[in-house]
Amino acid sequence: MAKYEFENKLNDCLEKLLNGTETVEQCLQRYPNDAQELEPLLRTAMSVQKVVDIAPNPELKARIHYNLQLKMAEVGKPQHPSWFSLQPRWAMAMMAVMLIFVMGGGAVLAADSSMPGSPFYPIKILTENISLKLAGSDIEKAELSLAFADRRVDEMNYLIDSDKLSEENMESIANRYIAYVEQVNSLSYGTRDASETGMTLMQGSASAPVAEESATGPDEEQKTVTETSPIVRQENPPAQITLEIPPEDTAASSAENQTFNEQDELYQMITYYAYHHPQKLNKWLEDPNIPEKYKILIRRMIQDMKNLEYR
Amino acid sequence: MQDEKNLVHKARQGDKEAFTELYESHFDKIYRYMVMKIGNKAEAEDMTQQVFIRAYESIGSYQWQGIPFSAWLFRIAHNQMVDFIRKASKKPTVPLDESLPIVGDSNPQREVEVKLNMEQVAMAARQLTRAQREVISLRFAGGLSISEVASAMHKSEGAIKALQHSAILALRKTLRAGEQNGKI
Repeated sequence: MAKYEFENKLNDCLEKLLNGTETVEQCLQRYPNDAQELEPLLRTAMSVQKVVDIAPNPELKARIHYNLQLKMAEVGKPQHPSWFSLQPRWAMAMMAVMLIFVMGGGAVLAADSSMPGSPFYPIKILTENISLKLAGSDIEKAELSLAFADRRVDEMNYLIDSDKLSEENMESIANRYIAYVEQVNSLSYGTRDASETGMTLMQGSASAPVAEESATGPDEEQKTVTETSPIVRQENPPAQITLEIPPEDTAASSAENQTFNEQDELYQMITYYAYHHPQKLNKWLEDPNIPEKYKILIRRMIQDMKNLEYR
Repeated sequence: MQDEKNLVHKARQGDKEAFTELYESHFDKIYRYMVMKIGNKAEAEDMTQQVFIRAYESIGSYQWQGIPFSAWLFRIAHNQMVDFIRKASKKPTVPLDESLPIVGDSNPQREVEVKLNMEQVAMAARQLTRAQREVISLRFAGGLSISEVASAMHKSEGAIKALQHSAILALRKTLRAGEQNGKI
């Protein structure tokens, strides 16, 4: 809790410093108890900010503006994408599966938005299972599982709000949620760097990120900066250096970069749900009208999702 | 100056003046972000231009639903940068001399001064995780608020504050170590 409070104070000071409405000294006066810890961080942040606060050459801005005008004239009005192209891939896969069902003669179109208790609800669950079977990669499976877990939260919300919650449907929804989250946990899409979620910090290890980065394997973005880094130049300063990069390494790192991007998207999704689901579920834990036996299941759902985030 | 939401709405309809206003108000931030992430003046200039061209081409798909326009723009910038790194990694040779961080300032004296400092920051930033680097780039170079960074990175504000804290701690540690070793 103290860490969160300190992060809030640090951010409060940074906001004011970056806006130019306060000096470091003024901020430290507002937080005298944390001044000793805040001061070096604020001064470091301001040094970095000063360095990166680059004013672009006005000629450059004008030149790019001119090129942009030409491009805008060439493109004409911006294209408004069709509804279909706005849907995520997994949704399109779902729709394809649904269409197959429709062609087979079922009134399954209504199933997608159906809720527990509806005659269409079993079809909804069936299409989810088929979509998971059709998923191409572990990352895709994980994304689908998370999306379906999110549906269970919405269904629980609907049942509670409409006073239709029963032991049977509560257990069924909670178990499906837990199964989806556990499925994500069991898939081999890689392990997240704990420091990216701030976990390292909460554990009180300020210097951990450096070691953890190297422990998680090569980082493409970092690797590129390293290869073109001025530091090499400092250690060995010839007038012109050409850095040779073996072709086999570049091919491998390109594929690795692709995996990193997919993983990043999945991690963002996990972080999003790990933030929003406990928020929604905690609300029901505080509701005196929800029986304790349901709250046990809800606590398990929250715990499983949190475990997933810090996997 | 029109309200940004209104500008975006007009730009979506093809109003070039409205898009130009958006360009004027976001250009510096995107350029700084690119320079910090890439560390190469010529590439950063080209990438900044590409970001705005891409933004104009796809502004029809942007919808004002909780995600600030700046966060959307920085997502384009981030994707552009990732593409750049992917392509750069396929090149068999990279002339180091041209990859040095150079700023767009026309004053040569300041250029050298800032270049050295940029090198220090680039070196320290190498020690950060990707997420930490992204937060520092968006926050300090891009000038985004915590909530805008959270939107751009699809994380909670709490997670961004934690990353910001750990990133500054790590930067400080590296910069101090560099000072002591005489490398910085």
